[in-house]
Amino acid sequence: MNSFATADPEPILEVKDLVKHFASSGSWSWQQRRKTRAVDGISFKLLPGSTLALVGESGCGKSTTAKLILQLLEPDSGDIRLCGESVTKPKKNALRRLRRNVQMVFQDPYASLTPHLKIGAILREPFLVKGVRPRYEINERVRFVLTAVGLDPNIAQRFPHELSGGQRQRVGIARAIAGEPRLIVCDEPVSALDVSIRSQIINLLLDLQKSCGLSFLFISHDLDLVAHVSDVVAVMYLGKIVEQAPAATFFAQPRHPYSQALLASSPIPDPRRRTKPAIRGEIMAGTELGAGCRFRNRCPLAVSLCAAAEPELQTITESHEVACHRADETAYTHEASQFQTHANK
Amino acid sequence: MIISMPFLSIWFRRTNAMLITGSFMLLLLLAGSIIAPLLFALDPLAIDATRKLEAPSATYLLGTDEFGRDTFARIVYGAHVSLRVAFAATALTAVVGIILGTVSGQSRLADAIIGRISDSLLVFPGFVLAIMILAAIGPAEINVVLAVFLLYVPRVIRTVRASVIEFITADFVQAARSVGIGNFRLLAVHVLPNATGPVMVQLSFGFAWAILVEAGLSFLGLGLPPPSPSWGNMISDAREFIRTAPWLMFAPGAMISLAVLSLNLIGDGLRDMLDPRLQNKINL
Amino acid sequence: MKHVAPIPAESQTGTSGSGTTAFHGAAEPALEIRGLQVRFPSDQGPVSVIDGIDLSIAKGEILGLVGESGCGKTMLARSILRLIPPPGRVTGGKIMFDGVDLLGLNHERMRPIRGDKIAIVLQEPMTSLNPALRIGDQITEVLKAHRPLLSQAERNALASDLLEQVGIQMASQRLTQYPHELSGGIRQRVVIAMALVCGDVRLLIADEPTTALDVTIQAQILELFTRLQAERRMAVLLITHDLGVIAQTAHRVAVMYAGRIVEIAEVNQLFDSPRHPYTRGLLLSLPRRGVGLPKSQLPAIAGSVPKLSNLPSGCSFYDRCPHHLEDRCQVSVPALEETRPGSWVRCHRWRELPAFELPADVKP
Repeated sequence: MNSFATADPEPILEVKDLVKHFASSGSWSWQQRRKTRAVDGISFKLLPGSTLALVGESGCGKSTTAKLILQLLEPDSGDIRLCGESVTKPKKNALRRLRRNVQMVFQDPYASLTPHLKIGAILREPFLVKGVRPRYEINERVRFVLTAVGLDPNIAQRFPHELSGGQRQRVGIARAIAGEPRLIVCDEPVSALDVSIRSQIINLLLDLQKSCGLSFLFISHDLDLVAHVSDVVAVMYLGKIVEQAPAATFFAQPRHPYSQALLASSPIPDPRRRTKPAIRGEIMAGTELGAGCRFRNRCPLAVSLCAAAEPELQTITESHEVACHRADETAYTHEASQFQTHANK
Repeated sequence: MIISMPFLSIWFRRTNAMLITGSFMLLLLLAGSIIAPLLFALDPLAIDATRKLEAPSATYLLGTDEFGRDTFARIVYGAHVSLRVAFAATALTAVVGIILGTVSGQSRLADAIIGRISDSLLVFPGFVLAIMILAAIGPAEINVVLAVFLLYVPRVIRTVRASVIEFITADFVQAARSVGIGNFRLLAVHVLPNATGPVMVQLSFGFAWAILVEAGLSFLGLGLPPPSPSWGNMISDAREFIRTAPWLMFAPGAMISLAVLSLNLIGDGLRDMLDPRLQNKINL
Repeated sequence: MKHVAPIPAESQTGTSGSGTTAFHGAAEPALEIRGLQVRFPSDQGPVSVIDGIDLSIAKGEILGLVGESGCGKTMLARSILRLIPPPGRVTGGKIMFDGVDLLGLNHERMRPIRGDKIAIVLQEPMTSLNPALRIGDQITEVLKAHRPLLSQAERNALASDLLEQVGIQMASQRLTQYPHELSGGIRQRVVIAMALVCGDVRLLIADEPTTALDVTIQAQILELFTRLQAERRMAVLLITHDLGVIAQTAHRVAVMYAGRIVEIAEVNQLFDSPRHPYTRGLLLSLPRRGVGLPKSQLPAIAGSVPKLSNLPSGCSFYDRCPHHLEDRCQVSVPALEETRPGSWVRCHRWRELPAFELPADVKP
């Protein structure tokens, strides 16, 4: 579980110095072009059968990272390796083959299924792409994946709008596993679902991971959920990874002030343990970034150094990396540790 | 199959009076023009010099013209001509419009080129441009089709382009793409069916407009050369006899109005049916 | 308005006048809803979106209303303001506010109440602000409607004062900005300011006010809510699907399922010993840091949220409930029964259910 720093098994996914900037400009060419640094040099590794959670708030670049890995966007620079092969500059055939190794489960099950196609038609596509023939063989496999995600195979005859949110998300998962990928990118897979359905879907994903040896890149803002499903946690802030550690280490002792703030702000479903807003202010606008730390305007620990130089990710204990100038001082003090464990009544 | 499904399901869910009336009228028109020649011996070109400018009677339901030709027969065959021209023009517009619209929805360069050409076509008042085109290439059925097509295709391109741009970034298209589907299938199966509704609306108006333009051009002598029994030709010929034989003018005029009205009703009906703002149905 | 006869099980609680007031231990209710019914026509006949709801909100309390999409919680909020979208209709019940039944008021008499005495904050801060107007103008517009005697200068002063109260710095400059120039958190603060601008708001309805916001911003907005509520002694109806948000802010909680309230209790009561199997299922299914083994299966509620047009007979939670009994639960709709002072549950079997327990903590 905590072997992510050691390189013994070949990682399923390796991202190195990945950069993607978007030009957000006015429509007139003489207007100054502003760049959104959506993903600004991130690196991580994901081992077979494990789950890496990308955590962060809107605009931190986690969804852009997902799209880059799925090759729905092209990176400006950096390298993405799937199963040891680079996908950033692949040949056309290689790309098709590689693409099959990674699939995605989308956030909104209402928007991610083509509304005018029957479930069967949607699920036949991955097999068509794979070159499965003839048709009855495809239909057989469609029934198989539907059963695998806990749905009645007859659902293939229905249209998406006839299904509930939970059923649709199961179809989304069925589509993702149909191509027998080794990695699935889950982009907030339950946040659009009803609360009473979420745990079903999480259980299904955990089941599939165990039975098929899948790796997950799990994108979420829900830290309780991340704590439950992930092996490694990477926290993103404005396009950078600011902290990365095995889940147990991270939740016991987060070291970046932003990670600590995130943990402290997420509302605990226990009225006897009230949380308080841990940080003030909002994400810095792209124009103000400058040279320093991106979190400095909200950071309770910011000093003049933080405005002058951007902290690099550095290893502080085994496999625990933090990008903070004051990482030595951020270990939890006694009273702050109330956030770590669930208080008894 | 793919294209008809959403269309049909919406059809069954929401019926609307305009659409039904329009479709009924158009069907009647079509059926009449097909069945009438089977029931009666009709010849739109047969000249009977003994029976010129006769008033409507049992033999000649709508009377005869100045050459003694049966007006009813000419109306029926005129329907064939009008609908044939309009249909050919609309079909051509649909095919080319969908292809060019899709291309310009995907590539910036193509969009710039196609967009500018469309714009320059849209600058002129439609009918004036049609006259110019016909004057340049000469009156013939195929040329009328071409003129109507040139005038109407920019609108279809725009409609398709807007849908493609809207849906190419939709989650379900991204999902299909990440499964590994090729570009062609992606467009044909996942993107374009979403444009069906607005394009159908455009095309039904285009169809009506084609009938009008064909009639107008024929009226000016730029359409189908005589003795072709086109509704426009008939009105043109009837001008001299408006006092003595008003039915000659009235019959084709009524047919044109009827055909155009029915198609406009269909277009409006479709638009109402597909307008999301009018669908405030609560999902229970 | 015609009062539709409630189904028999409802009648015990729904129509016995004094019994309902005791319901929630609210000594001085700011708002009292009795036997509310809202229906929408559908292809299969009328569908009850809200089916006999009794609820009161005391002065100065935050009442959390939890439920899933389509359970009727938003319709409840809308019916208080008389904003049910057509073709839906209130088909029965009363909403008492300040001694009058809101459902009996015409539009002329409803208008001074909306925005002045009862205000609402919606989920999406971008769509609840008009993108074409400066925020100062939007705030003073509310004042123009409800305080026509004030001068423009006084209105502006009030507006900037209010922005400071909701924690916006450089308030007078913000007044001249457009919504798109503000971040999501600031926008939601502006929306809250607009809701409170009249200074006389007795009931604030907040419909998923933080769902569209990031966690760090959500914490700030929730803190603002609790502060304003305490300062102004307002009653707040906080509608959300997030049990964490409820636990952190509400004093009392009502749980809705398929158009009915299934449980009401004081917040500690509800989280310590929930009575209804649905509430229990929700609380158990939440992943929690430090509770349960990582990557283990979560206790899930089976099945899916039923369609309102196709509810099971009897208890609407019947087919998802692990404790259902064919002979009882499927036969009649359970009544909302008082389990201890201030706690109510709608379940035939609440006496027989085992005590509620969360899985033991796992210490690293």
